[in-house]
Amino acid sequence: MSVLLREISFSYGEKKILDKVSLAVCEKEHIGILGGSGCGKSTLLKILAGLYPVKDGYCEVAGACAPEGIRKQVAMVMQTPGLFPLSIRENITCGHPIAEEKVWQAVRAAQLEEWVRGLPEGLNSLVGERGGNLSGGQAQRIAIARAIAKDAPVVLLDEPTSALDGETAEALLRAMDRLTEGKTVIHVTHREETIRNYDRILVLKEGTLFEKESVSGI
Amino acid sequence: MTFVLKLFQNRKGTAILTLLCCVGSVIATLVWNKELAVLIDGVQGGYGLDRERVTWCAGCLVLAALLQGGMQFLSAYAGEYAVHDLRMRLARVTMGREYADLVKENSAELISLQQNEMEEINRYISDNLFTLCTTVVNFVFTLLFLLTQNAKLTLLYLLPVAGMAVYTTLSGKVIYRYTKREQEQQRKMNGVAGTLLSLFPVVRIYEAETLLKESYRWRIEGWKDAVVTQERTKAKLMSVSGMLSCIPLVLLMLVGGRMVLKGTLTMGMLYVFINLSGNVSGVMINISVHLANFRRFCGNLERVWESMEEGEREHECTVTGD
Repeated sequence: MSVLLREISFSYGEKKILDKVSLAVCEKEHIGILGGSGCGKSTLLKILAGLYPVKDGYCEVAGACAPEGIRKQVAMVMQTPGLFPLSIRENITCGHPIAEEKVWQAVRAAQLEEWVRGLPEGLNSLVGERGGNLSGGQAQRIAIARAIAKDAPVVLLDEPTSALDGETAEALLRAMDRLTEGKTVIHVTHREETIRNYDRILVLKEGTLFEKESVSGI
Repeated sequence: MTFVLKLFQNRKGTAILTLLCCVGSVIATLVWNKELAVLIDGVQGGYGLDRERVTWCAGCLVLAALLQGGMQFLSAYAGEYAVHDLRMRLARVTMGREYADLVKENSAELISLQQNEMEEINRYISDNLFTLCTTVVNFVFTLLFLLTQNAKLTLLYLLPVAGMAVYTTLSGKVIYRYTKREQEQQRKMNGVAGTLLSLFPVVRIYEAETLLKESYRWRIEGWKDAVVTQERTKAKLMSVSGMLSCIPLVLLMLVGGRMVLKGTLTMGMLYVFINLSGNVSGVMINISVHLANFRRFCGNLERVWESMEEGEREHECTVTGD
Protein backbone atom coordinates (compact mmCIF):
# COMPACT_ATOMS: atom_id res chain seq x y z
CA MET A 1 0.00 0.00 0.00
CA SER A 2 1.21 3.47 -0.84
CA VAL A 3 -1.20 5.25 1.51
CA LEU A 4 -2.97 3.70 4.45
CA LEU A 5 -5.37 5.44 6.79
CA ARG A 6 -7.01 3.45 9.56
CA GLU A 7 -9.86 4.92 11.63
CA ILE A 8 -8.57 8.47 11.57
CA SER A 9 -10.57 10.98 13.59
CA PHE A 10 -9.89 14.70 13.75
CA SER A 11 -11.58 17.64 15.46
CA TYR A 12 -11.13 21.40 15.57
CA GLY A 13 -11.93 21.94 19.23
CA GLU A 14 -15.42 20.55 19.78
CA LYS A 15 -16.19 20.27 16.07
CA LYS A 16 -15.56 16.82 14.68
CA ILE A 17 -14.29 16.99 11.09
CA LEU A 18 -13.21 13.41 10.37
CA ASP A 19 -14.86 10.43 12.02
CA LYS A 20 -12.96 7.11 11.82
CA VAL A 21 -11.90 7.59 8.20
CA SER A 22 -10.14 4.61 6.61
CA LEU A 23 -8.49 4.55 3.22
CA ALA A 24 -6.10 2.28 1.38
CA VAL A 25 -4.45 3.48 -1.81
CA CYS A 26 -2.28 1.26 -3.97
CA GLU A 27 0.97 2.40 -5.51
CA LYS A 28 0.45 4.63 -8.60
CA GLU A 29 -3.30 4.63 -8.02
CA HIS A 30 -5.14 7.92 -8.70
CA ILE A 31 -7.84 8.70 -6.17
CA GLY A 32 -10.29 11.58 -6.38
CA ILE A 33 -12.13 12.75 -3.28
CA LEU A 34 -15.27 14.81 -3.76
CA GLY A 35 -16.96 16.91 -1.15
CA GLY A 36 -18.58 20.25 -0.45
CA SER A 37 -17.00 23.24 1.25
CA GLY A 38 -16.01 22.63 4.87
CA CYS A 39 -16.53 18.86 4.75
CA GLY A 40 -12.92 18.19 5.80
CA LYS A 41 -11.24 17.50 2.43
CA SER A 42 -8.34 19.86 3.07
CA THR A 43 -7.97 18.58 6.65
CA LEU A 44 -7.71 15.01 5.37
CA LEU A 45 -5.06 16.09 2.87
CA LYS A 46 -3.10 17.93 5.56
CA ILE A 47 -3.05 14.77 7.66
CA LEU A 48 -1.82 12.86 4.62
CA ALA A 49 0.86 15.52 4.10
CA GLY A 50 2.10 15.17 7.69
CA LEU A 51 1.07 18.71 8.56
CA TYR A 52 -1.37 17.66 11.29
CA PRO A 53 -0.39 15.06 13.88
CA VAL A 54 -2.56 11.97 14.07
CA LYS A 55 -4.00 11.45 17.56
CA ASP A 56 -6.77 8.97 16.82
CA GLY A 57 -6.03 6.29 14.24
CA TYR A 58 -3.10 5.27 12.08
CA CYS A 59 -1.57 6.97 9.06
CA GLU A 60 1.12 5.58 6.80
CA VAL A 61 2.37 7.24 3.62
CA ALA A 62 4.93 5.44 1.42
CA GLY A 63 6.11 3.46 4.42
CA ALA A 64 6.46 6.48 6.74
CA CYS A 65 4.34 6.99 9.86
CA ALA A 66 5.92 9.97 11.64
CA PRO A 67 4.93 13.44 10.30
CA GLU A 68 8.57 14.31 9.45
CA GLY A 69 8.90 11.08 7.46
CA ILE A 70 5.55 11.53 5.74
CA ARG A 71 6.45 15.06 4.62
CA LYS A 72 9.49 13.68 2.79
CA GLN A 73 7.25 11.30 0.80
CA VAL A 74 4.71 13.80 -0.49
CA ALA A 75 4.51 16.72 -2.90
CA MET A 76 1.50 18.98 -2.65
CA VAL A 77 -0.19 21.60 -4.83
CA MET A 78 -2.73 23.73 -3.03
CA GLN A 79 -5.54 26.11 -3.96
CA THR A 80 -3.19 29.08 -3.74
CA PRO A 81 0.28 28.63 -5.23
CA GLY A 82 2.09 29.64 -2.03
CA LEU A 83 5.12 31.22 -3.64
CA PHE A 84 8.03 32.73 -1.74
CA PRO A 85 9.01 36.34 -2.58
CA LEU A 86 12.19 34.98 -4.19
CA SER A 87 13.29 33.87 -7.66
CA ILE A 88 11.56 31.26 -9.83
CA ARG A 89 14.54 28.95 -9.31
CA GLU A 90 14.37 29.25 -5.51
CA ASN A 91 10.63 28.62 -5.61
CA ILE A 92 11.21 25.41 -7.55
CA THR A 93 14.25 24.07 -5.69
CA CYS A 94 13.22 25.44 -2.26
CA GLY A 95 16.93 25.86 -1.58
CA HIS A 96 17.84 22.20 -2.17
CA PRO A 97 20.79 21.35 -4.42
CA ILE A 98 18.83 20.26 -7.48
CA ALA A 99 20.73 19.94 -10.76
CA GLU A 100 20.09 22.64 -13.38
CA GLU A 101 18.86 20.06 -15.90
CA LYS A 102 16.33 18.69 -13.42
CA VAL A 103 15.04 22.20 -12.73
CA TRP A 104 14.55 22.77 -16.45
CA GLN A 105 12.83 19.39 -16.76
CA ALA A 106 10.34 20.49 -14.10
CA VAL A 107 9.88 23.84 -15.84
CA ARG A 108 9.29 22.06 -19.15
CA ALA A 109 6.84 19.58 -17.61
CA ALA A 110 4.87 22.42 -16.03
CA GLN A 111 4.69 24.07 -19.48
CA LEU A 112 6.65 27.10 -18.32
CA GLU A 113 9.75 26.81 -20.49
CA GLU A 114 8.80 29.23 -23.24
CA TRP A 115 7.72 31.88 -20.75
CA VAL A 116 10.78 31.48 -18.49
CA ARG A 117 13.20 31.62 -21.46
CA GLY A 118 11.51 34.85 -22.53
CA LEU A 119 12.19 36.53 -19.19
CA PRO A 120 15.29 38.77 -19.10
CA GLU A 121 16.62 37.02 -16.02
CA GLY A 122 15.14 33.59 -16.77
CA LEU A 123 14.97 31.34 -13.72
CA ASN A 124 16.47 34.10 -11.59
CA SER A 125 13.49 36.41 -12.16
CA LEU A 126 11.74 37.40 -8.95
CA VAL A 127 8.13 36.32 -8.57
CA GLY A 128 7.21 39.27 -6.31
CA GLU A 129 5.39 39.09 -3.02
CA ARG A 130 2.95 36.16 -3.07
CA GLY A 131 3.60 35.81 -6.79
CA GLY A 132 2.41 39.37 -7.36
CA ASN A 133 4.40 39.73 -10.61
CA LEU A 134 2.70 36.67 -12.19
CA SER A 135 -0.71 35.65 -13.46
CA GLY A 136 -2.69 33.06 -11.48
CA GLY A 137 -1.89 30.35 -14.06
CA GLN A 138 1.84 31.12 -14.12
CA ALA A 139 2.04 31.11 -10.34
CA GLN A 140 0.22 27.79 -10.08
CA ARG A 141 2.50 26.30 -12.77
CA ILE A 142 5.53 27.24 -10.68
CA ALA A 143 3.89 25.41 -7.77
CA ILE A 144 3.47 22.39 -10.06
CA ALA A 145 7.10 22.62 -11.19
CA ARG A 146 8.12 22.67 -7.53
CA ALA A 147 6.11 19.51 -6.89
CA ILE A 148 7.63 17.84 -9.99
CA ALA A 149 11.15 18.78 -8.89
CA LYS A 150 10.60 17.18 -5.49
CA ASP A 151 9.88 13.89 -7.25
CA ALA A 152 8.00 12.41 -4.28
CA PRO A 153 6.15 9.09 -4.65
CA VAL A 154 2.83 10.55 -3.43
CA VAL A 155 1.23 13.66 -4.94
CA LEU A 156 -1.50 15.51 -3.04
CA LEU A 157 -3.68 17.99 -4.92
CA ASP A 158 -5.97 20.37 -3.02
CA GLU A 159 -8.22 21.97 -5.65
CA PRO A 160 -5.28 23.46 -7.54
CA THR A 161 -7.49 24.90 -10.30
CA SER A 162 -10.25 26.36 -8.13
CA ALA A 163 -8.96 29.93 -8.31
CA LEU A 164 -8.45 29.89 -12.08
CA ASP A 165 -10.78 30.56 -15.01
CA GLY A 166 -11.97 27.66 -17.20
CA GLU A 167 -9.37 27.94 -19.97
CA THR A 168 -6.41 28.40 -17.61
CA ALA A 169 -7.67 25.54 -15.43
CA GLU A 170 -7.84 23.22 -18.46
CA ALA A 171 -4.27 24.08 -19.45
CA LEU A 172 -3.12 23.57 -15.88
CA LEU A 173 -4.71 20.14 -15.66
CA ARG A 174 -2.72 19.15 -18.77
CA ALA A 175 0.45 20.42 -17.10
CA MET A 176 -0.39 18.34 -14.05
CA ASP A 177 -0.45 15.13 -16.09
CA ARG A 178 3.35 15.14 -16.03
CA LEU A 179 3.37 15.65 -12.29
CA THR A 180 1.03 12.77 -11.58
CA GLU A 181 2.51 10.32 -14.14
CA GLY A 182 3.61 7.13 -12.35
CA LYS A 183 2.77 8.52 -8.90
CA THR A 184 0.19 7.82 -6.28
CA VAL A 185 -2.25 10.71 -6.47
CA ILE A 186 -4.89 11.93 -4.06
CA HIS A 187 -6.85 14.86 -5.47
CA VAL A 188 -9.52 16.54 -3.38
CA THR A 189 -12.00 18.76 -5.16
CA HIS A 190 -15.65 19.77 -5.36
CA ARG A 191 -15.58 19.69 -9.18
CA GLU A 192 -16.25 16.26 -10.62
CA GLU A 193 -14.84 16.99 -14.09
CA THR A 194 -11.29 17.45 -12.80
CA ILE A 195 -11.11 13.83 -11.52
CA ARG A 196 -13.25 12.09 -14.15
CA ASN A 197 -10.43 9.83 -15.42
CA TYR A 198 -9.20 8.76 -12.00
CA ASP A 199 -9.05 5.11 -10.91
CA ARG A 200 -11.39 5.60 -8.00
CA ILE A 201 -13.66 8.38 -6.81
CA LEU A 202 -14.65 8.72 -3.17
CA VAL A 203 -17.00 11.10 -1.45
CA LEU A 204 -16.31 12.73 1.89
CA LYS A 205 -19.54 13.51 3.69
CA GLU A 206 -20.18 14.25 7.36
CA GLY A 207 -16.66 13.20 8.24
CA THR A 208 -16.87 9.81 6.55
CA LEU A 209 -15.48 8.50 3.25
CA PHE A 210 -17.74 6.60 0.83
CA GLU A 211 -16.89 4.75 -2.37
CA LYS A 212 -18.76 6.32 -5.25
CA GLU A 213 -19.67 4.43 -8.41
CA SER A 214 -21.47 7.32 -9.98
CA VAL A 215 -20.84 10.83 -8.75
CA SER A 216 -23.77 12.46 -10.48
CA GLY A 217 -25.82 14.56 -8.16
CA ILE A 218 -22.91 15.58 -5.94
CA MET B 1 -5.13 73.44 -0.88
CA THR B 2 -8.67 73.19 -2.28
CA PHE B 3 -9.19 69.98 -0.30
CA VAL B 4 -7.94 71.59 2.91
CA LEU B 5 -10.52 74.36 2.46
CA LYS B 6 -13.19 71.74 1.70
CA LEU B 7 -12.20 69.87 4.85
CA PHE B 8 -12.98 72.90 7.02
CA GLN B 9 -16.08 73.94 5.09
CA ASN B 10 -18.41 72.76 7.86
CA ARG B 11 -16.18 74.25 10.56
CA LYS B 12 -15.53 77.62 8.94
CA GLY B 13 -16.36 79.65 12.05
CA THR B 14 -14.01 77.74 14.33
CA ALA B 15 -11.22 77.74 11.75
CA ILE B 16 -11.48 81.52 11.22
CA LEU B 17 -11.62 82.14 14.97
CA THR B 18 -8.50 79.97 15.39
CA LEU B 19 -6.66 82.04 12.79
CA LEU B 20 -7.78 85.29 14.42
CA CYS B 21 -6.50 84.05 17.80
CA CYS B 22 -3.23 83.13 16.15
CA VAL B 23 -2.80 86.56 14.53
CA GLY B 24 -3.81 88.29 17.77
CA SER B 25 -1.32 86.25 19.77
CA VAL B 26 1.52 87.06 17.36
CA ILE B 27 0.70 90.77 17.34
CA ALA B 28 0.54 90.85 21.16
CA THR B 29 3.95 89.12 21.31
CA LEU B 30 5.46 91.64 18.89
CA VAL B 31 4.05 94.58 20.84
CA TRP B 32 5.51 93.08 24.03
CA ASN B 33 8.90 92.76 22.30
CA LYS B 34 8.78 96.35 21.11
CA GLU B 35 7.99 97.48 24.65
CA LEU B 36 10.76 95.23 25.98
CA ALA B 37 13.25 97.07 23.77
CA VAL B 38 12.09 100.38 25.27
CA LEU B 39 12.37 98.94 28.80
CA ILE B 40 15.93 97.67 28.17
CA ASP B 41 16.94 101.01 26.64
CA GLY B 42 15.41 102.79 29.65
CA VAL B 43 17.34 100.67 32.13
CA GLN B 44 20.54 101.06 30.09
CA GLY B 45 20.05 104.80 29.92
CA GLY B 46 19.60 104.94 33.70
CA TYR B 47 15.96 106.07 33.60
CA GLY B 48 14.70 103.00 35.51
CA LEU B 49 11.37 101.26 34.91
CA ASP B 50 8.18 103.09 34.07
CA ARG B 51 5.26 101.67 36.11
CA GLU B 52 2.68 102.21 33.37
CA ARG B 53 4.88 100.63 30.75
CA VAL B 54 5.55 97.58 32.91
CA THR B 55 1.79 97.18 33.45
CA TRP B 56 1.20 97.52 29.71
CA CYS B 57 3.92 94.89 29.03
CA ALA B 58 2.36 92.49 31.54
CA GLY B 59 -1.03 93.07 29.88
CA CYS B 60 0.44 92.25 26.47
CA LEU B 61 2.00 89.07 27.85
CA VAL B 62 -1.25 87.94 29.48
CA LEU B 63 -3.18 88.72 26.30
CA ALA B 64 -0.66 86.77 24.18
CA ALA B 65 -0.89 83.80 26.55
CA LEU B 66 -4.70 83.86 26.55
CA LEU B 67 -4.88 84.08 22.78
CA GLN B 68 -2.29 81.31 22.49
CA GLY B 69 -4.34 79.11 24.82
CA GLY B 70 -7.54 79.93 22.93
CA MET B 71 -5.85 79.06 19.65
CA GLN B 72 -4.64 75.72 21.03
CA PHE B 73 -8.14 74.85 22.23
CA LEU B 74 -9.91 75.97 19.07
CA SER B 75 -7.39 74.32 16.75
CA ALA B 76 -7.74 71.01 18.60
CA TYR B 77 -11.54 71.36 18.46
CA ALA B 78 -11.64 72.30 14.75
CA GLY B 79 -9.08 69.63 13.83
CA GLU B 80 -10.83 66.86 15.74
CA TYR B 81 -14.21 67.73 14.25
CA ALA B 82 -12.81 67.97 10.72
CA VAL B 83 -11.23 64.51 11.06
CA HIS B 84 -14.41 63.16 12.62
CA ASP B 85 -16.48 64.44 9.67
CA LEU B 86 -14.02 62.86 7.26
CA ARG B 87 -13.97 59.53 9.11
CA MET B 88 -17.75 59.35 9.31
CA ARG B 89 -18.05 60.12 5.61
CA LEU B 90 -15.58 57.35 4.78
CA ALA B 91 -17.54 54.94 6.98
CA ARG B 92 -20.82 55.92 5.23
CA VAL B 93 -19.25 55.37 1.80
CA THR B 94 -17.86 51.98 2.83
CA MET B 95 -21.16 50.84 4.37
CA GLY B 96 -23.04 51.98 1.27
CA ARG B 97 -21.12 49.65 -1.03
CA GLU B 98 -22.29 46.25 -2.23
CA TYR B 99 -20.79 43.27 -0.39
CA ALA B 100 -19.83 41.61 -3.69
CA ASP B 101 -17.89 44.72 -4.76
CA LEU B 102 -16.09 44.84 -1.43
CA VAL B 103 -14.96 41.23 -1.82
CA LYS B 104 -14.05 41.62 -5.49
CA GLU B 105 -11.85 44.68 -4.97
CA ASN B 106 -9.98 43.26 -2.00
CA SER B 107 -11.51 45.98 0.11
CA ALA B 108 -9.92 44.89 3.38
CA GLU B 109 -6.54 46.03 2.07
CA LEU B 110 -8.04 49.15 0.52
CA ILE B 111 -9.81 50.13 3.73
CA SER B 112 -6.68 49.41 5.73
CA LEU B 113 -4.73 51.69 3.35
CA GLN B 114 -7.34 54.42 3.67
CA GLN B 115 -7.30 54.05 7.47
CA ASN B 116 -3.54 54.56 7.45
CA GLU B 117 -3.90 57.66 5.29
CA MET B 118 -6.68 58.86 7.57
CA GLU B 119 -4.43 58.33 10.58
CA GLU B 120 -1.73 60.42 8.91
CA ILE B 121 -4.26 63.15 8.10
CA ASN B 122 -5.46 63.06 11.71
CA ARG B 123 -1.92 63.26 13.05
CA TYR B 124 -1.01 66.10 10.72
CA ILE B 125 -4.12 68.13 11.54
CA SER B 126 -3.67 67.60 15.30
CA ASP B 127 0.07 68.18 15.44
CA ASN B 128 1.09 70.20 12.41
CA LEU B 129 -1.60 72.02 10.49
CA PHE B 130 -2.37 74.79 12.95
CA THR B 131 1.24 74.83 14.13
CA LEU B 132 2.16 75.50 10.50
CA CYS B 133 -0.44 78.28 10.35
CA THR B 134 1.07 79.83 13.49
CA THR B 135 4.56 79.49 12.02
CA VAL B 136 3.52 81.21 8.79
CA VAL B 137 1.67 84.01 10.60
CA ASN B 138 4.60 84.39 12.97
CA PHE B 139 7.03 84.51 10.05
CA VAL B 140 5.11 87.12 8.06
CA PHE B 141 4.36 89.44 10.97
CA THR B 142 7.82 89.15 12.53
CA LEU B 143 9.53 89.78 9.18
CA LEU B 144 7.40 92.87 8.61
CA PHE B 145 8.08 94.03 12.17
CA LEU B 146 11.85 93.57 11.83
CA LEU B 147 11.88 95.29 8.43
CA THR B 148 10.05 98.30 9.86
CA GLN B 149 12.46 98.46 12.80
CA ASN B 150 15.71 98.10 10.83
CA ALA B 151 15.51 96.98 7.21
CA LYS B 152 19.29 96.95 6.66
CA LEU B 153 20.04 94.63 9.59
CA THR B 154 17.09 92.37 8.72
CA LEU B 155 18.17 91.89 5.12
CA LEU B 156 21.84 91.45 6.03
CA TYR B 157 21.23 88.70 8.52
CA LEU B 158 18.69 86.96 6.31
CA LEU B 159 20.93 86.94 3.23
CA PRO B 160 22.85 83.73 4.07
CA VAL B 161 19.60 82.06 5.16
CA ALA B 162 18.54 81.79 1.50
CA GLY B 163 21.65 79.71 0.76
CA MET B 164 20.99 77.57 3.80
CA ALA B 165 17.42 76.97 2.67
CA VAL B 166 18.79 75.61 -0.63
CA TYR B 167 21.21 73.38 1.30
CA THR B 168 18.40 72.09 3.54
CA THR B 169 16.22 71.37 0.50
CA LEU B 170 18.96 69.43 -1.26
CA SER B 171 20.06 67.54 1.84
CA GLY B 172 16.40 66.78 2.58
CA LYS B 173 16.09 65.19 -0.85
CA VAL B 174 19.19 63.05 -0.26
CA ILE B 175 17.91 61.94 3.15
CA TYR B 176 14.48 61.19 1.66
CA ARG B 177 16.09 58.96 -1.00
CA TYR B 178 17.96 56.98 1.67
CA THR B 179 14.85 56.78 3.84
CA LYS B 180 12.87 55.36 0.92
CA ARG B 181 15.61 52.80 0.33
CA GLU B 182 15.59 51.84 4.01
CA GLN B 183 11.80 51.49 4.03
CA GLU B 184 11.94 49.31 0.91
CA GLN B 185 14.51 47.03 2.54
CA GLN B 186 12.41 46.82 5.68
CA ARG B 187 9.33 45.98 3.61
CA LYS B 188 11.23 43.15 1.89
CA MET B 189 12.45 41.83 5.23
CA ASN B 190 8.93 41.90 6.66
CA GLY B 191 7.71 40.19 3.49
CA VAL B 192 9.97 37.19 4.12
CA ALA B 193 8.96 37.10 7.80
CA GLY B 194 5.30 37.19 6.79
CA THR B 195 5.92 34.36 4.35
CA LEU B 196 7.06 32.13 7.20
CA LEU B 197 3.58 32.35 8.69
CA SER B 198 1.38 32.45 5.61
CA LEU B 199 3.23 29.71 3.72
CA PHE B 200 3.92 27.49 6.70
CA PRO B 201 2.51 24.29 5.06
CA VAL B 202 4.60 24.83 1.91
CA VAL B 203 7.68 25.49 4.02
CA ARG B 204 7.17 22.23 5.94
CA ILE B 205 6.35 19.98 2.95
CA TYR B 206 9.17 21.27 0.77
CA GLU B 207 11.60 21.66 3.68
CA ALA B 208 12.26 25.27 2.76
CA GLU B 209 13.22 26.36 6.28
CA THR B 210 16.90 26.82 5.40
CA LEU B 211 16.06 28.76 2.24
CA LEU B 212 13.81 31.15 4.12
CA LYS B 213 16.22 31.48 7.02
CA GLU B 214 19.02 32.37 4.60
CA SER B 215 16.77 34.71 2.71
CA TYR B 216 15.67 36.39 5.95
CA ARG B 217 19.29 36.74 7.11
CA TRP B 218 20.19 38.25 3.77
CA ARG B 219 17.27 40.70 3.95
CA ILE B 220 18.23 41.69 7.50
CA GLU B 221 21.75 42.40 6.24
CA GLY B 222 20.30 44.50 3.42
CA TRP B 223 18.11 46.42 5.84
CA LYS B 224 20.99 46.88 8.29
CA ASP B 225 23.19 48.31 5.53
CA ALA B 226 20.40 50.62 4.41
CA VAL B 227 19.81 51.87 7.97
CA VAL B 228 23.53 52.44 8.59
CA THR B 229 23.93 54.35 5.30
CA GLN B 230 20.81 56.39 6.00
CA GLU B 231 21.83 57.30 9.55
CA ARG B 232 25.41 58.07 8.52
CA THR B 233 24.28 60.35 5.70
CA LYS B 234 21.71 62.00 7.93
CA ALA B 235 24.30 62.62 10.65
CA LYS B 236 26.75 64.18 8.16
CA LEU B 237 24.21 66.42 6.47
CA MET B 238 22.43 67.43 9.67
CA SER B 239 25.63 68.33 11.50
CA VAL B 240 26.64 70.67 8.67
CA SER B 241 23.12 72.09 8.75
CA GLY B 242 23.42 72.60 12.52
CA MET B 243 26.68 74.49 12.08
CA LEU B 244 25.27 76.64 9.28
CA SER B 245 22.23 77.56 11.35
CA CYS B 246 24.50 79.59 13.66
CA ILE B 247 25.53 81.93 10.83
CA PRO B 248 22.46 84.25 10.99
CA LEU B 249 22.93 84.72 14.74
CA VAL B 250 26.64 85.37 14.35
CA LEU B 251 25.90 87.90 11.61
CA LEU B 252 23.26 89.52 13.78
CA MET B 253 25.74 89.85 16.62
CA LEU B 254 28.49 91.22 14.37
CA VAL B 255 26.45 93.66 12.27
CA GLY B 256 23.98 94.51 15.00
CA GLY B 257 26.75 94.96 17.59
CA ARG B 258 28.57 97.28 15.21
CA MET B 259 25.37 99.29 14.69
CA VAL B 260 24.94 99.56 18.47
CA LEU B 261 28.51 100.78 18.80
CA LYS B 262 27.90 103.32 16.04
CA GLY B 263 24.68 104.40 17.71
CA THR B 264 22.39 103.54 14.77
CA LEU B 265 20.66 100.78 16.75
CA THR B 266 19.69 100.63 20.40
CA MET B 267 20.75 97.79 22.68
CA GLY B 268 17.11 96.99 23.39
CA MET B 269 16.32 96.61 19.69
CA LEU B 270 19.37 94.38 19.16
CA TYR B 271 18.08 92.16 21.95
CA VAL B 272 14.65 92.03 20.27
CA PHE B 273 16.28 91.14 16.93
CA ILE B 274 18.17 88.28 18.58
CA ASN B 275 15.01 87.23 20.38
CA LEU B 276 12.88 87.13 17.24
CA SER B 277 15.48 86.06 14.68
CA GLY B 278 14.53 82.38 14.96
CA ASN B 279 10.93 83.11 13.95
CA VAL B 280 12.15 84.18 10.52
CA SER B 281 15.41 82.34 9.83
CA GLY B 282 14.16 79.05 11.32
CA VAL B 283 11.15 79.02 9.03
CA MET B 284 13.25 79.90 5.97
CA ILE B 285 15.79 77.17 6.70
CA ASN B 286 13.15 74.50 7.22
CA ILE B 287 10.79 75.68 4.51
CA SER B 288 11.38 72.52 2.42
CA VAL B 289 10.51 70.26 5.37
CA HIS B 290 7.31 72.21 6.06
CA LEU B 291 6.34 72.17 2.39
CA ALA B 292 7.09 68.44 2.00
CA ASN B 293 4.95 67.59 5.05
CA PHE B 294 2.15 69.82 3.83
CA ARG B 295 2.28 68.32 0.32
CA ARG B 296 2.17 64.82 1.81
CA PHE B 297 -0.84 65.78 3.90
CA CYS B 298 -2.58 67.31 0.85
CA GLY B 299 -1.80 64.16 -1.17
CA ASN B 300 -3.31 61.88 1.49
CA LEU B 301 -6.33 64.11 1.85
CA GLU B 302 -6.84 64.31 -1.91
CA ARG B 303 -6.71 60.50 -2.30
CA VAL B 304 -9.14 59.86 0.56
CA TRP B 305 -11.45 62.66 -0.62
CA GLU B 306 -11.54 61.50 -4.24
CA SER B 307 -12.16 57.86 -3.31
CA MET B 308 -15.03 58.98 -1.07
CA GLU B 309 -16.53 61.12 -3.83
CA GLU B 310 -16.19 58.20 -6.25
CA GLY B 311 -17.89 55.88 -3.73
CA GLU B 312 -20.71 58.38 -3.23
CA ARG B 313 -21.22 58.72 -6.99
CA GLU B 314 -21.34 54.92 -7.39
CA HIS B 315 -23.80 54.65 -4.52
CA GLU B 316 -26.00 57.33 -6.10
CA CYS B 317 -25.97 55.45 -9.44
CA THR B 318 -26.94 52.19 -7.67
CA VAL B 319 -29.79 53.88 -5.81
CA THR B 320 -31.15 55.68 -8.88
CA GLY B 321 -30.50 52.65 -11.09
CA ASP B 322 -28.41 54.55 -13.68
